[in-house]
Amino acid sequence: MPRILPPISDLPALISNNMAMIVAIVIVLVGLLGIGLKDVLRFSLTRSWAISGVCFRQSIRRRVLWLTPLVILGVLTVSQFQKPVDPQDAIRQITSYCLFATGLLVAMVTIILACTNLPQEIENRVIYTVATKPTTRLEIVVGKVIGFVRVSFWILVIMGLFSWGYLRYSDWRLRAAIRTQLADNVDPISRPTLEYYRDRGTLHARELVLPTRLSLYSHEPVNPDDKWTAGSGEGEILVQFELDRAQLPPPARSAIGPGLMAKQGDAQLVLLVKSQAVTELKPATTSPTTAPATQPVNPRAKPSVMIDFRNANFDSVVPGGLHDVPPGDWRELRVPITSEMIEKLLPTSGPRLIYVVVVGMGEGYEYTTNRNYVRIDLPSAPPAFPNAEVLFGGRIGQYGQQLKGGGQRVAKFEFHDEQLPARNFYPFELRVGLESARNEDAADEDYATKITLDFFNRTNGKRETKVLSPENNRPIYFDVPSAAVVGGQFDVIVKMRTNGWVGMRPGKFASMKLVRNDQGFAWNLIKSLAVLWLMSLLVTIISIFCSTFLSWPIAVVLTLVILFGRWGAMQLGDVTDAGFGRRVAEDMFKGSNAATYRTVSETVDILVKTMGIVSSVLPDVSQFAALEDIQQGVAVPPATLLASLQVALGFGIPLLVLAYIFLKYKEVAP
Amino acid sequence: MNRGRKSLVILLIISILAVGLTRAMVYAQRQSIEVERRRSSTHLAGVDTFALGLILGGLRGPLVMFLWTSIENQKTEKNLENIDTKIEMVRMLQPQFMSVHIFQIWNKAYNLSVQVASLANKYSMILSALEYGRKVDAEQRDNLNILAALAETYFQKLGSSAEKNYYIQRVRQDSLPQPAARRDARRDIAWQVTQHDTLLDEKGFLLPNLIQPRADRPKPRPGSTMDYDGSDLQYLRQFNTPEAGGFPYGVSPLALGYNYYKRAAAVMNTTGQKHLYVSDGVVDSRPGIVLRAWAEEEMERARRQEVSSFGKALPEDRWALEPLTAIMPPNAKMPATDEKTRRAVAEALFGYRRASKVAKIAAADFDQHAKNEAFAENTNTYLYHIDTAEALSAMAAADFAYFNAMAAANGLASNPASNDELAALYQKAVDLYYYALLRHDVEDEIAAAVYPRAAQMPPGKALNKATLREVDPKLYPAIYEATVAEYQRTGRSGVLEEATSEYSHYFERARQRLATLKR
Repeated sequence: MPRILPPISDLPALISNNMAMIVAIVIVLVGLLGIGLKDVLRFSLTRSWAISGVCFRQSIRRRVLWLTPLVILGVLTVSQFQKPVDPQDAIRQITSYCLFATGLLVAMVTIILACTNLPQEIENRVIYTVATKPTTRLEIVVGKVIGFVRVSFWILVIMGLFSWGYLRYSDWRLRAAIRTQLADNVDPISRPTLEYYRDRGTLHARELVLPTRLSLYSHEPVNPDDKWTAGSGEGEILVQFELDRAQLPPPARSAIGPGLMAKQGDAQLVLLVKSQAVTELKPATTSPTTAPATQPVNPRAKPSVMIDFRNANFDSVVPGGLHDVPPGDWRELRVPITSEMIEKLLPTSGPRLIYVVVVGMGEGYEYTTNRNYVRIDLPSAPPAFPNAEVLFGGRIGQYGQQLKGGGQRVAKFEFHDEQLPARNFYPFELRVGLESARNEDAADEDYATKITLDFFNRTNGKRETKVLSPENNRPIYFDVPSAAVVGGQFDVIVKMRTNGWVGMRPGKFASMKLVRNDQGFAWNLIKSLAVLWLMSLLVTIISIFCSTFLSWPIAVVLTLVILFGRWGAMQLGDVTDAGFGRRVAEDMFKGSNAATYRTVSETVDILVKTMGIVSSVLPDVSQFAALEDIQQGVAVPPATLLASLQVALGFGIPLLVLAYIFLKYKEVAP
Repeated sequence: MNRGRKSLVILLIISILAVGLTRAMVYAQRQSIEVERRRSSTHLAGVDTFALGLILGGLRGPLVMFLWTSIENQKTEKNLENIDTKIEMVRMLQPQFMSVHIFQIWNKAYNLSVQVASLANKYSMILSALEYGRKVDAEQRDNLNILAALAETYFQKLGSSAEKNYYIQRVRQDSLPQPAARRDARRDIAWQVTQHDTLLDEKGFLLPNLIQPRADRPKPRPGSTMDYDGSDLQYLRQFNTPEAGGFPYGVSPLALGYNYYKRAAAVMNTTGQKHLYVSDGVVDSRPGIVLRAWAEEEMERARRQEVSSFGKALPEDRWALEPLTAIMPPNAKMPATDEKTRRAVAEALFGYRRASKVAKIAAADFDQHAKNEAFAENTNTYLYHIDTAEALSAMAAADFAYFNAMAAANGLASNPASNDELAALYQKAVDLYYYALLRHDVEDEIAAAVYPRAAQMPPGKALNKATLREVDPKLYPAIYEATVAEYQRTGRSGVLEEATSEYSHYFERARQRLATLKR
């Protein structure tokens, strides 16, 4: 089949993955040091500032700032329609209305002003007055960018002041309503959270400390070696390996086909696993029972584990079978890793993280292993060993890893924060998901889910216990005395006292967070507005770039395409994975001959790959995350500002250079 | 201004006028089709809907599509933050679509309420569904679909779900007059409501505005048989008299469910509206069913108070309450006669009296429904409801008189009935239960085989289920014993027990009381 697209899709990964940066560097170097060196040397910031002043005054004369009261009115109107679930949700919604409207206003005003400016000045020959003066085209382009960015700055100032004032007012009203409600009869579950809002307000910029690790055990470990995972498919031990496909060459085979057994040349997973019967205590009940307090849940279930091979995203790739593990001594398991399994697990060359997962299966038993007891024997290389400590996890449910309630199972969050300031109390936030299995006729007090949090300070050995009744998927706030937390080296053991499951997450969206500091909402708002301002800078540059060679309506369209191209491609990401071409061919050309089938399949794959490469060159506007943190009451981290700056300048500067080059060679004045 | 521009301006003005005229015509046409929608006072209620529609213009459609998808996604992800806002927007953007409103009321009351863990928050979510329904009702008065949706939420979700004990108590408490602080809290709170509206005044009677007939109520069509005055709680007015006692212990959600179902049936009857999903017969039968459930609820409350007035611990199982006081004589002594006991006695007596009255109305309601020719195909079904409701009413009346005698013996009530009067009351209840059992719960084959043998009829008449009413009730015990023996002989006693489980505990209690009185 002839190649129907340029070989852009066949570029090496190193180049195609860094295409944006390479193109940017080339443009800047060629544009400024090659084509425009003379103008660079003559560049005057004063002249650019003067040009920007003209742009700014022109925009003000066009009454763009009059749009802000209209947008403010819109925000106030839409806010009246909100129906939040609680006070924090109310603030979250108002924050998102304010900042969304601000961002939209800034982006629209900037696009319209910047896209129409140059074409109109050229059309009505106003540009003669500038172009005929001793100003360079570089100064014109830079001046216009500064001018429009000044306009967006003042819009952001006005909208920022409004947002701050409106949010402060809303916070004041909400706190007054909370005080009134608390004076009345509030249910015990909602009371602690409402008290927190009353005392600390609803506007926050929390600097959070996230746990470094979340582990789920079948019972609370009494020493470092006493770590066990639960059975019933509800617990698993994850062992991390770094493997390269080159370490696992395909073995020579005498035959291929279904049911192929392991050959001598196959790799082999070797691990030691131990099991023991669970001494699960019955959950506390109001009425006594004559049943024995300890008994296996299901004595007929055989103690066994399932081996599962997963990729770096924890997706199950290939199963490794079910293996009996009778209670008692360590039992050695050997699992062949065939070349077919390797192909799925390591689809491309290069080092790659994989997980060997031991899933506890037999009910009524718990299972353990550790990194010293797991290895992968390779046919033509030394064995591979785990490159990290094993992780004890839980079955993944709707809200993360599931911790079963009513028994001995525990989850442990580990915190390591050396910079924790000294305080009398440390505020925490807990947000868990609940999947109940309770007596529905019980009264409210019994009905509520209860969770025990046991704080253990690893530095001074102090403990503090909290009993909470969280609501499903809603944050709950509480304070912990200093002794159990000070120093920042502490564990939190979570136990669910009622029946059912509680879902918890590690990582960025961790279920438990320590509030290290509250930076102040105003400062957080300024950071969010700064992100929006950087976005307006990028939008301005793109608009001016487009307007240097297109009429203004087309420039508007192209600006939007450049801005949202990458986002659009990312939205298609899930459907455009490997094999998309084959699926299209199967769906649309079923029954066609092999040549047509192959043509369609390969063409679609090439188009998808090309789209991926092109979109990787476009700016990633999702980096301008002005809303995400502030509406959650979390301090906007410096990384967000840095990422915004990176996108704005990384994409803006090369485009600015291109705009200058286009304008330089455009005949705008006699 | 040149001529061309003048012409253009004139053309624009004419176009605007033409659009306005066309809109007015279409609106007038729609008004004539939709029954009495959006009259005078309800215009204000629709201002937010109208304003939003005006602002968005043609963008309404895409926005609604986005909102629906987003709501469903959030529901799947069990993320309830801002979901209520989105549902509210959908309500305002699709004000005319009853199917949307029915779905969203259901969605909130059922699908979303189960996603929160605590009972208080579940209750709050269900109240939010009711609030949604009320807003639609304010915009579109007297709509059968919305009234039925409100009724269903009160009846099925608040009055009959697994968590009903909590919900019923909350609605009763919330409907009582509240202290000023609580009223202020309700007014100030901008987030999800946590308490039901107050419905009663200080004396336990419905607030006047809730039973005030509306001037703009729909005009009854010719041939309509029901009286509909458009007041919010029209059908609770019959309990709001000094004789009936009002609602001193709050309004049960089942009472509210009855009211809205009855209003829905009345709207159907007087305006000819049809429900989107259920038949006329179903709409008309619902008030009776809810009344029966309400009578049972009152009965249970009364029983709890009776048991507690004798200082006994309250079991969790509802039916375990029945035997605790069943064999006590009418002059049994209470362990204490303090204020707490006095309150329990007063509440128990009120509950029995209310249960009797409600069950009686239920029987009448079923009877009216069964006699309606339009629903004639269901007559036999409703005979069972009529008979058991009458028996329940008699049972509650007997329990009232008996407990009143007990209270009087302890100096906590007056006018006790004599033992003969009490026996007569229980005898009536027992007879009605015998009849209901023999008429409806015995299998036809068994009845055909046993009844003629167990009791004699006048010559030329055969005793069967249809002629059971003509038999002297004194013969019912013999027929019953023969029937039980037949079931035992065939090894199927469980079948009869299963069929009578709904009232067998009352039946047993009535027989025990009767035995006590005859001793």
